Amino acid sequence: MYPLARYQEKLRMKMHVITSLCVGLGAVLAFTGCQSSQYIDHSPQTYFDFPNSNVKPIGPVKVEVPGPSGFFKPPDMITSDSDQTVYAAAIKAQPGANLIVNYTKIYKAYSFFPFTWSKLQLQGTACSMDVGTQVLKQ
Amino acid sequence: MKQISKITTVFGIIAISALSGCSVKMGHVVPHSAFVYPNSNVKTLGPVAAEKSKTAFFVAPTWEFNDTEEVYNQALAKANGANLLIDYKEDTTFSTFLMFNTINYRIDGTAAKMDVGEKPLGQ
Repeated sequence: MYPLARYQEKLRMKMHVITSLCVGLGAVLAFTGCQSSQYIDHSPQTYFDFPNSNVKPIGPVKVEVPGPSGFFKPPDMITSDSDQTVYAAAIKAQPGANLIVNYTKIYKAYSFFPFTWSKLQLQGTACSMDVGTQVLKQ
Repeated sequence: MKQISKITTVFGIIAISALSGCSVKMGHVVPHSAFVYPNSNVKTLGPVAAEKSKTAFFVAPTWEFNDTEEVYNQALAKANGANLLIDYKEDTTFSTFLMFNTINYRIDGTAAKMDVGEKPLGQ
């Protein structure tokens, strides 16, 4: 083989190896997905607590539910629908509960171009709220 | 011909992207719209909802404090005697289509009446 032809052959092989490595890495990343963003919030209560009520803690809750997904754009995960979904899951996880207090919620977005999806997590204390009427002077 | 075909394809993709528009929504669930006095009784009146949109061409529409007040007042007016909203969804959507930008603010929850009194306190 002429020296130039040998050099061109070597270069072609190097390019082939580099391309294969890049495609392989891209495939690994694509199949595992990448977490692209997080939203974290700590709040005292999920729902309104009537002043004319008794609130009794029941126990800790921790839930994770699938959130909204997207196509060619990030998922709209920081919405009231996401809040409702994760609150309902937390309430359902503790029988007798109708309120969650002192909770933290974490919403995580993932992407694998062009698809995006999210996960909604919540951890807090489930409570039972009994509503009545308190005696007040007018 | 190949060059023209490539340019046409690129312009076609840009046109489709521009025509399809874009929308972003953000919001949360809010336990109560106003301070609730511990020396009160609260009674629910029923579900209510209200929304307002503003559109501007080329620039983002400006949203003022009175725009938010207007939406809350509209929601409360739908339930006789209501002075409070509880457990409501509050969402803001910003969308753009062919240089027209729109903000939509929506609230959807339960109207309630809060009767404030005075409760006996031990000293």
